[in-house]
Amino acid sequence: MSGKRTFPTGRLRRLMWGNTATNASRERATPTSEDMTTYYLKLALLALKRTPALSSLMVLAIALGLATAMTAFTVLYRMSNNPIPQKSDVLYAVQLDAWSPERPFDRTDNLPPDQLTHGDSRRLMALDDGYRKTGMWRSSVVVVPENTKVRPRNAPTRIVAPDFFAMFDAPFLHGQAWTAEQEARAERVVVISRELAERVFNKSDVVGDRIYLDDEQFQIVGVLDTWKLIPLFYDVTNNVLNETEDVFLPFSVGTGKEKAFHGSVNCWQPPGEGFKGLIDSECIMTQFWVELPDRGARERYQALLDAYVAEQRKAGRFKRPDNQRVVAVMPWLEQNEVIPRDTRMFVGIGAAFLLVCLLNATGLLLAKFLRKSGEIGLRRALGASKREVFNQHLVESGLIGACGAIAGLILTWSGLLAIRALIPEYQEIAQLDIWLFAGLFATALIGAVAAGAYPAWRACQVMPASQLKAH
Amino acid sequence: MLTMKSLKKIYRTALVETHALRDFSLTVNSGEFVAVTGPSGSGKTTFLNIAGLLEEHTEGQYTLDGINVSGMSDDQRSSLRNQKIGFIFQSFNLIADLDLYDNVDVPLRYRGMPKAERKQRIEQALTRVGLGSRLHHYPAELSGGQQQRVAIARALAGSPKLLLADEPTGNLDTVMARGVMELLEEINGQGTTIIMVTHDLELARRAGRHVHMVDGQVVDIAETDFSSLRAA
Amino acid sequence: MEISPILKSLRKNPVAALLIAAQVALTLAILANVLFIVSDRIATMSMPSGIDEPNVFTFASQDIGEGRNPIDGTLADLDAVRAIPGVIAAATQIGIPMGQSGWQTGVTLKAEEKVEGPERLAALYMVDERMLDVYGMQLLEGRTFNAEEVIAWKTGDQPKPPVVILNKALSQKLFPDGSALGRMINITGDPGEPAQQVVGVVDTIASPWPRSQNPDRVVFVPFRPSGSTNFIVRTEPGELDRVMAAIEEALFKVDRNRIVDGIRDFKTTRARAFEGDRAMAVLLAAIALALLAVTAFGIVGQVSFWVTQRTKQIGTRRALGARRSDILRYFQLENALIVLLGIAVGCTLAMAINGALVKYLSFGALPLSWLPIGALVVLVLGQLAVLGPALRATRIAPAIATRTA
Ligand SMILES: Nc1ncnc2c1ncn2[C@@H]1O[C@H](COP(=O)(O)OP(=O)(O)O)[C@@H](O)[C@H]1O
Ligand SMILES: [Mg+2]
Repeated sequence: MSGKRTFPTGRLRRLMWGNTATNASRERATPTSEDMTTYYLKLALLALKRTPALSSLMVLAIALGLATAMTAFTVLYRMSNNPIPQKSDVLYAVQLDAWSPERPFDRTDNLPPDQLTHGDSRRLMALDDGYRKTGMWRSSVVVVPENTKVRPRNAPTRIVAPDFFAMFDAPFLHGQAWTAEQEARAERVVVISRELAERVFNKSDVVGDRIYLDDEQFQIVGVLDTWKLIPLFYDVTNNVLNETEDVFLPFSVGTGKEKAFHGSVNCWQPPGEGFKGLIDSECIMTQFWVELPDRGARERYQALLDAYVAEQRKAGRFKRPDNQRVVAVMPWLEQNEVIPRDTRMFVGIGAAFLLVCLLNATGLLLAKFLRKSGEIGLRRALGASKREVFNQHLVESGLIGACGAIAGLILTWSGLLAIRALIPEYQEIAQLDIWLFAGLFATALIGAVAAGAYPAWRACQVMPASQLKAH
Repeated sequence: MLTMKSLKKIYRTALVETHALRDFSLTVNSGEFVAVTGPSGSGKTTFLNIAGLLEEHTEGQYTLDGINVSGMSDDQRSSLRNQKIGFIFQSFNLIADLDLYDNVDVPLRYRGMPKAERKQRIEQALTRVGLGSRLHHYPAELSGGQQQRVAIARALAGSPKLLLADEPTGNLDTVMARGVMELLEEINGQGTTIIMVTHDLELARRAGRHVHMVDGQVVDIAETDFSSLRAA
Repeated sequence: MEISPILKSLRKNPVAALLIAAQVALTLAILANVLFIVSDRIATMSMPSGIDEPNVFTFASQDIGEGRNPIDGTLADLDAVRAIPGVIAAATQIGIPMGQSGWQTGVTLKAEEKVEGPERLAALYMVDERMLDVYGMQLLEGRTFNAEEVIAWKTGDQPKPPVVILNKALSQKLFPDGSALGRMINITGDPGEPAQQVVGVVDTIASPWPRSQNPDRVVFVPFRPSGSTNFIVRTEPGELDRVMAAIEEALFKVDRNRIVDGIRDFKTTRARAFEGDRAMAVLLAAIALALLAVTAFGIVGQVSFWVTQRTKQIGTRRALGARRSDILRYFQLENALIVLLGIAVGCTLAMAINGALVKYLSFGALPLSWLPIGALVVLVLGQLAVLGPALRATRIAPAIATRTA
């Protein structure tokens, strides 16, 4: 076949080598009345069957690349989740800078400290500004069950002001938050999680019941339904993958009972003796959040913070330049680098790997299509236009992409399983949802079609009738 | 130059055994120009392949240039082929990715010749076939006759003692075919032994000796009427 | 066989070869970085703790209510633990090496000295007179604490001891040219002259935070934490599991009104400290393997196609005198050339990827030595991948030259 000067260039002549013409007659171009896409799909399936090794190689490569990229991306996506989309624009973390006059808290960006002193939290909560707000910290209490056969257990606890529940949309199953009066009187009241209620009482409607916490009886005023915040954004000094706490105690009670600060206590000068010394020191140990419904409120609250700092300066505190601010939820997570750098690196590596797999697919598709060039020449001779040949091969690439996506889905799922096994606290993070699933499929298809575009173009450059003339 | 005694070649496939050569004997002397004719499937290519060490015979004796080639290793056969034999194929078999210079260079490379000598031989060979000015063209840029001339140059460059050609003009029109034949005659005139398979009786008649094959054997054709062979 | 005809032929048909080269380049770039990160993580994970790891476990104990005096209670608990057969030593602890919670303090050497950043931070461990036995650690200089120096400590107390012990790393950091023994340091942040005297230097011991910038600097103070606190126990070899199983019962005999939890051998503590690193190392190693497999099989697939495509050319070469080894060598050389091009680009790319990791994620800089290692891996990989199809090419019969049109 190569003897006649059918081909204008060496490149095209090279295309004609190999012995693929035999299959062409089996699936001679049919009348175009048939829906072309279905026809192309049929051809693509035939092509897959004809080269099972090469095809499965491509499917596997695409699947592996996708799975790696998607596993990494899933973790990133779930980590960068907006934990409270309905309120993320109105909830603000408050930052004040009462740090050492000699050195900034944050040496690279001069960010204010990530927590407030206990005193600043107390005083900001006491301001009569009309906004919902709460200072808080994480601690733990010993829950002593009625049933003496069950051993007492520690329960994760958050010490908060009553506004906390409305601010963060805590879902009450029964009862409600304690009142401002109960807070002021440091009454022994508590809100607990449904899980804790069921563990201790075997039922959830326990409002009005009493529960032993540490060594005292508390009255249960509310029970929260199962509550997930991923990430647990309101306290970045603790693990943001912690679950919401089981016990919520009034700020005044937590202070009175000298509940330990879990998370970090950070000092730039030594505190005084004991708990009293600590909560009146310049050590930072509490988080503080405020709900500011609009821009005006934000500006007014900023002014209020400025005034507060100015007043505190008179008392000899805040010796650093003004650096008080409020930060909304998503910037707050960003600023505190909630997404581990390993996750970002993993995503980058995953994306690069996907690129390798797509390059791989392009190379293999090129080989696969050119191997068929005899058949392509025949099709062209029988009247297929360049565009039709191009489309046919693009459909074939797409089919391989779809197979890759399905295989990739299974691999992604196993990848996430592996991550959950390797990092138990990623239980909630390493989960596939419907959007990720859709994204996966789209990526695979787009990727495969993109990978197939060049080979398909090369395929449609094959000269028509080359088959006929050569013999 | 070569002596074949009672050669047999049997192709075995799962279903059938084909006796491509049966009791085939032939002696070709140095400097001869032998034309081989015969109906399709009569074993011409098989004979040429065995003569050129591309295939091994099943039975019998084959001596090439005084060397008994039976039982030689693949590597020995390769280098013998490389040194003593030049091939010309019906479909030229030029390498499309290489220009003329590099195409002619291929067998010389395998001989491990120094660069300067290769260069001289390549240019000489291409000049001799009339393509000395197109060293760096690619095969696809040439006509069929020119391509076959390149193939002849490639076969000549290594100064083989034996030139084997399997229907060298089969893909060429008459004018081009005559040109190639004249070239072969000229080469033969300078001492190279040539065995050429052809369908063209006109060409066969021009060769010094004519061997006709039927069904894997040589048929004596000394007095045969060529016109009757055409029908066979 | 020489390189130039291969190069010419590749130049005539560059796309497929360039695709392979690009793939090799990316593979090398990823591989070098991944290997570097994995080896870095493995090195981190095998960081010494300085303690007798196989025989140490820890747990937390917490009293419920105001039942007993925390100081006396802790002493009774310690007696009970030490009485368990197989226990070498036991102590209460704030901070466990690699335990990820504890105290950290700045260390200064002069009055009013201003120290910036983490350079002078050290973990603070409260220990009693049995510290060497508890950790299974060596004293390098001076002495350990006397029983009389050790005082009970409870939550809220500020540790301001007259004497301290340093570990080797902190001692070298503070006093790079000379012994730390007898020197005065300030670990309290109090203004004024340093008030803590160094009485001893011990060998390596890890801080509670092995992933921090200074994972190995520790200052020991003579305090016995009391009340709700952690315990560390060291057992005779082989006795660990038995003692761990007996610990709860022994403590409940002393007082039932308590919570004992977090009973954990040191192996688990170490595994938890490096959980993220281990996960990353495992995942990246898996990616590296998958990457090599994808690239290798990609090369196999493409070269297989080339062999089919070049069947006649190979037959012709054989007819013209090429030996089987010449054909094999052709494919090997061709692959090596393509891979070498990939390596050249890949090395640059590897540095670029690492540059991004350094710049945006503050990873460590890729040591150049990983490039030749990665290059060697992809070169060998390419040669192995090409071997199968190339051997198939050597089996193409020379008669193909005359037998096909
Ligand atoms: N590789 C092979 N396997 C089986 N049969 C073969 C093979 N090569 C040639 N033959 C058979 O051997 C016989 C001689 O073939 P060949 O020498 O090519 O004839 P010619 O060149 O004279 O047309 C034919 O019948 C052919 O079918
Ligand atoms: Mg023939």
